[in-house]
Parts: sequence; structure tokens; C-alpha cells
Amino acid sequence: MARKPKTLKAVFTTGFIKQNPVFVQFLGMCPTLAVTGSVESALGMGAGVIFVLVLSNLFISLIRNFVPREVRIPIYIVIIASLVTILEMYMNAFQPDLAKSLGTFLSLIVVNCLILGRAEAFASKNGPIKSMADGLGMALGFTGGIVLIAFFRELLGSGSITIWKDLAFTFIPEVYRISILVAPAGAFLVFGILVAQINKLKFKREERNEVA
Amino acid sequence: MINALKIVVTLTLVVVLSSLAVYLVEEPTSKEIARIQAEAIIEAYEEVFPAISGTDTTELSTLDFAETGIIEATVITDNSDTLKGVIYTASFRGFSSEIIYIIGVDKDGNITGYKTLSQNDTAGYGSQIADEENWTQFPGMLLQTAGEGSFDGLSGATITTTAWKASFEALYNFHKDNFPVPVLTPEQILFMDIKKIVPENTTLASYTPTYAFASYGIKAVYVANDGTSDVAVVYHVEFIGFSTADVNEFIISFDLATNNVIDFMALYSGDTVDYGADIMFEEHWTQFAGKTPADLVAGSIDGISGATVTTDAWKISLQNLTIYHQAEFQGIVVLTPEEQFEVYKQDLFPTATRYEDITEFKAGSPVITQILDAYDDTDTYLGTIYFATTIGASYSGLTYIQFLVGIDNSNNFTGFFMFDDTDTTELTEAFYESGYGDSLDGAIDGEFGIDAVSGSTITYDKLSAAIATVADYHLNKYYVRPDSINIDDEAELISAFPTAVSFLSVYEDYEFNTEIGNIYEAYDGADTLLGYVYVGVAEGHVSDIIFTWGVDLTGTTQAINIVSGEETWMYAQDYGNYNGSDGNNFMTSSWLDNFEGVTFASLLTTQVDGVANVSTTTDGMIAATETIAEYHSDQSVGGAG
Repeated sequence: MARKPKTLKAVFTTGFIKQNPVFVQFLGMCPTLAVTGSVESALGMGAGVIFVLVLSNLFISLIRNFVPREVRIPIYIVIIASLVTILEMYMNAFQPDLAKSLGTFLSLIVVNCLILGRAEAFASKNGPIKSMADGLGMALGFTGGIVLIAFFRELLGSGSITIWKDLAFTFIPEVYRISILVAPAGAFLVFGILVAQINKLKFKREERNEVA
Repeated sequence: MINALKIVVTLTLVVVLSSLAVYLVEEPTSKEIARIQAEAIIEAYEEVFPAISGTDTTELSTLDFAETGIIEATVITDNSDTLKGVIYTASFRGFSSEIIYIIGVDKDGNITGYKTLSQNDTAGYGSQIADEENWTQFPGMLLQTAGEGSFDGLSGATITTTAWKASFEALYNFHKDNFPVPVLTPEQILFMDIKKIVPENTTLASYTPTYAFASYGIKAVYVANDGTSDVAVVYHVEFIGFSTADVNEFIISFDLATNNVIDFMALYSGDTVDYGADIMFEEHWTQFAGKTPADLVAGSIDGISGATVTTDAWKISLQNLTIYHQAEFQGIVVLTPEEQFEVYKQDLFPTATRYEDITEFKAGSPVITQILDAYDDTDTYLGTIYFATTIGASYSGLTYIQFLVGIDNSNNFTGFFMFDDTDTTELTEAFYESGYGDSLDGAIDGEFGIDAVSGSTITYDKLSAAIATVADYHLNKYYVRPDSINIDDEAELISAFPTAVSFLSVYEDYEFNTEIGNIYEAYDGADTLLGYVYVGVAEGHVSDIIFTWGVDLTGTTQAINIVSGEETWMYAQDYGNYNGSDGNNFMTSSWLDNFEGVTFASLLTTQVDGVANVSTTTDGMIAATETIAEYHSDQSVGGAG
């Protein structure tokens, strides 16, 4: 029996929680841990990933029927790399501070498993609309994941939240801050705790479904 | 074949289209990126070279930067093509990252600004190089000074600091080789540093002092004149801290109107890195502004964390220079502790001409640190000075009070002086009043007391109790003489006086002397007194030498006999009468014959020669025998003298 194709909505929302790239698929861990020191950086990285993932899914979907199977990966890489280069040039030109804060991780979007993973797993097999929806949903899920981690790290570690440039709010006095959370080790700590919580919720839901 | 062609065409198309897309975006963004970079460079240039203006010309240098770490040098010239300065971008390897910085240097070789452009060194250590507070030291500093490493490093980041200084050194060497900057002498650099700690618009000159200053650790003294009068004095001081192999140097300026400190600057530290050498950090200098001479004499400064020895040495050097300053410029003669000690001793016994430290010959006491006997010019015993310590009044921590008490030869107090203390500030000071020199008098076994000081009851009680302890000691322990050395084997006595058959110790009838262990009367078989046998104690090379030495009633010595001692004669090869046949045994050396069959008087007028190579042994024996000869006459042993 053929599987029923997913609706556009289902495609779009899959990446939010059920197949969240950060907490469920564990994709793109390098930037997840590296740029989550502040919400601002996480938002910037998220925006970059949205741009690259949506467009790469679109282009790959458009040419999926013409690409010889043997060279599909190099072609995907060329497309993704071109998009990342364009993104990098744009950020360096119009958002230099954000580009500086993201540093080398901006360039490393090229090798983010999430991008290539969605190209291979979805865009190469689906039409452009669904592929864009998948790309957008996954990228939003990724962005949400890293922003969530960044939120806890920055709030508890720095005592403040910086949304964008001067839009910053201080909540916790210096003496009560847990400074280790803004250090690299803090990324693992917060990530681990959040994954544990999400798994706990997931297992509870599964238990309820089984009982029902 | 078709498939291969399809692959080539597809790849080509994708690459071409991607390149085209990148090109289309590159066109507008590259201009913006170039503009931002240019702005950043101009901003950095303006930051490190504030004097740069729109009319100046900047040109990248084409000089060879090999081995210098310099990435780029921008030469700035004004509109008349005169060199204004150079802005360098340089890099060096820190502890864990490549560090890039930019630095401006004006035409006179002064640093105009510094900025770390990028680094990724260890957080909290090498990363401090990105903190602006570590850059503020540079503007105005000579590149030569920085090139010689005389700037603050990064606390706890020794490797990055060393590399930073090496980079500056290379940059300075490059700059002086390629641009016409004056190379200053150390004296000129010192003057430039001194200028920073004296009022502006003053001229500096060496100062000709009234009092010599070298013994106070002061290398040089300078005065700053505002055109009408000297307004400040600067001391260039040197001291040795924990590391005894090298010195620490600093300059400190005093306002001559208020005599308070104007400023302080450490010039050099050869002390341990990250400990004593932290004196080079400005955070230790800023505390000095406004300090009074009293603060410095009291050592009221914040020391260097973890460098106790260097901090103490620093405080002492500050005390000494302040004492000098007060004498030279304020007319206040403040004595050093050693000088003060001498003054107090003289006050306690004004006619004393010498003091003999007899502490080691007396019984110990937890209160008494030192016992000094005072003698006049006729060598008459005048009395004793006790240097004592008692615990102070503070309950919050251990404090001490050091004081001097004089007791004359009739057991009367001659005075009391407070010498040093860590007790409650502003309360113990009153006990330093010179009046206390006269306040303690009367018999030591009677009622006595020093003046009370309002508000310091406990300190007063502690002092009074300690003085009572000293008095009790003087009465009951000072005169207790050590046990005599009894010679149990009579043969040792007979060896010294062969014609005698019995001996009787009579030392208790005479004064104790540290070089005499006992005195025996020597009798013949008819109980007729023939003379005396001294038990002498000489200082030997290996151990004390105990010997017996007979002398008849005419003062003529009989025989000398070594009872114990671990001396050898093995190094006395040049001693003519010794041929080695005595088995290196000093006890049987024929040199001892010098002390037999001679009179005490002749021994004192014609000293026996010591023996080269065994001088400690022979000089010790000569000193002990002369003491006995003098003692025999002075104490009129058996009516002698």
C-alpha cells in the first residue's frame, strides 16, 4: 500500500518539534553549541540557516529531475556554497557586527548536516513548494532550538537578553549569574538538560497514547 | 557517453549559474564591504594616531618586514611631505592564538595609540590583551621604552606577555632602523618618566643633598622647579625583594609644600614574575597619591598579593626614603631602628662606652630577647640593658610590644623605652614618649611603675607585668652562673700540675668567665698550696677544647694538658716542630709547649704565634690562655696581681 503523501502543513510543521533538527535529529550541532552564547547570535545564525535552507531546497527541488545521480552531492554542495557565499557577502556588507559575532560559523553553514540532509532527504524527491515548506519548517525548528538554548545560557549566564543590537534587557544581578553557562561547557550543559526535558515530555506522551 | 555528457553539462551549468548569482551579489556588496573596511581602518588609524588629519597622506610602506612580525606599515606625511608618524599592524603568537595589533608612532618615537585587533587567547589570561585597560599605558610612552619591555604585562599570562614584549622589541628595532627617531640614553628615559610624576611645566635638576642618601637605598634625588622655587622632589630608589639576584627600582615624588606623595612609578623589577614583579602594574602605584610621610613610615600601603618578602622590602625602602626626606626637607630627624636602639642604650647608661651581649651566657626567658651589659671606659660594669617583648592588648590578633629596660649595678632601674610594637594604633604611641626614659626608676625589688596612658589599660598592665618579669629575672636569674666544669679524673689535673697530689675547686669564690670552666687549688702531700689549675675552655675548629693548665704561686705556668677536643693537627704541615709522627693529634702537639714554664705576665706581653692552616684552633687556645692570664691577675687568684 502506497504511503499517503504529507500535506503541506504537515511538511512545514514536522521540523518544529517532532523532527526538530536540534533536539531530535541532533543536526548542526557545531553552530548549536558555538553560537548560542547570546540570543542575538542565535537569531543571526537562524536567519542565515533559514535563507540557505529555503533557497537550497527550492533550487535543488527545481533541478532534481535533471541532475544525474552520480554528481548530485557535488551539485548540492555547489548550490549550498554559493548561497552561503551570497549570505556571507550580504552580512559582511550590511550586518558586519553580526557577521563578526558569528565568525567562522557563518561560513560553516556550508557543511551543516541539516542543509545537505534536507537536500538529499527531501528536496531531491519533492516539488519546489513542499521543499520550500520543508526548508522553512526545519530552519525555523533549528532557529527555535538554538534560540532556546541561547536564551537560557544568556539569561542565566550573563543575566540579560540581547535581542538585537541595543535592544537588551537585564534581569539577574551579577552576583546571581552562573557564568559557566556562557562558557563552552555551558552549551553542553544547557543542551543536555533541554534534550532530557524534551525526551521526558515525549515519553510521557507516548505512554499516554499506548494506554489510550 | 550521453550520461557523461549530461554530467558535464549539468555541472557546468550549475557552476556557471552559481557563479553568476555570486557575481551579481558581489557587485553591490563588495563596494559596501570595502567601504566598511576602509572606515574601520580609518577608525583604527584615528584611534591609534589621533593627530592624523584629512590633509595628511598615508602610504603603505614597501619596506621588508621579514622576521619582524609586522604585517603592514602605513607612513603618514603631512602636506609638506614631512613625516608625521607610522602606523604599524603587527602580529605575534600568544599562548594559544595569533594576536594582531595596531600601533601608532609619531615622528619623535612616541606611541600615539595601541589597539588589539584580534586575538583568541586563553580567556582570563592572554585574552586580557583585548582589554582596553591594558592599552591605556601606551599613549605617550616611548616606543623605545616599550621595545625594552618596560610596560605592564598581562597578569598571569607570562608566555603571552613575553611574546608581546618580544613583538614590541622587534617593532622598535625595525622602526629605529628605518625612521629617523632619536635613541635616548637611560638617563633621558628616566627623566621622561620623572616628568610624568611631577607637576607640569616644571624643570628637573639633580639635587645636592645635605645628608648623604646612599645608605637609605636612594640612587638619586631630583627636584622640580616651577621657575621660582622647587615644588617637588623625586627619589630614585632601589631595593632587593624576594629574588636576591636582581633589584627593583622605583621613583616617587613628594610635594615640597605639603610633603605628601604626588605620585609613584615602578621602573624595573627583577623579582619573581607574577609575584614580586607585579610591582610593575599601575594598580599598585595609584594608592600613593596623597600619602603622608607618616603613612609611609608606618608602612601603610597595600602590598603585592602573594609576595610577602618583596612587599616587606618595599615597605622598608619606603620607610628609609621617607626618613631621609623628613630629615632633608622637613628638618625632622627620624632615626632608623638601629640608630634609635643606640640612642636608647646611651640614654639608659650615659657613661657607657661599650656594651657586651651576654644573652647566650644567661638563662633563657620568654620575655627577654637580648641582654646587654654596659661598661664604661675603665671597663667597669655599669649595669644591664634588657631588650624584652610582651604580647600586646589586641584580642583580634597577635600583637607585640618591644621595649628596653635598664638596670644599674645597684639593682635600680635606669629607664624604660618603647622600641617597636604592633599594638593598638594611637594608644601605644603615647608609650613612645621620651619621658618614659626617666619614668622608671627606683629599686627593682621595690615599688615601681611607668606612667599610665589614658585608654590603654591593658597595654599598660602588659608592660608593667613584663617589666616585673625582667626585674625578677635580674634578681634571680641574671646572677646564676653556669655549673663549673668538674674534672673527675684527677690525672687530668696532675698532668697540669705534676708536683701536686690533691686539688680543691675554688671557682665559686671568683667571678664567672666564659673561658674558664673551673679553678682548682693544687696541694702537695703536706697540704701546702703549690698553685692553681685552671680548667680552660677554648674555641676550636671542630669543637670547644677543654684543657687544664697549672700555674704556681709566682704566676709561672707548669704544664698544659688537653682534656677533650676534636681538633687535628693534620693541616699544620708548615709547623716546624711537627713531623707528622704524632698521628695528627693536637693534644700531643709540641706547639702546646709554648704555654709551659712561662709566666702569665710574659704571655700577655709576648703573644704566642698561631700556626698557619690551623689558625682557628691555635688562635682559640691563645685567646683562652690570655683570658686566664688576665683573669688570674684581675681576680687576684691566690693573691696574684
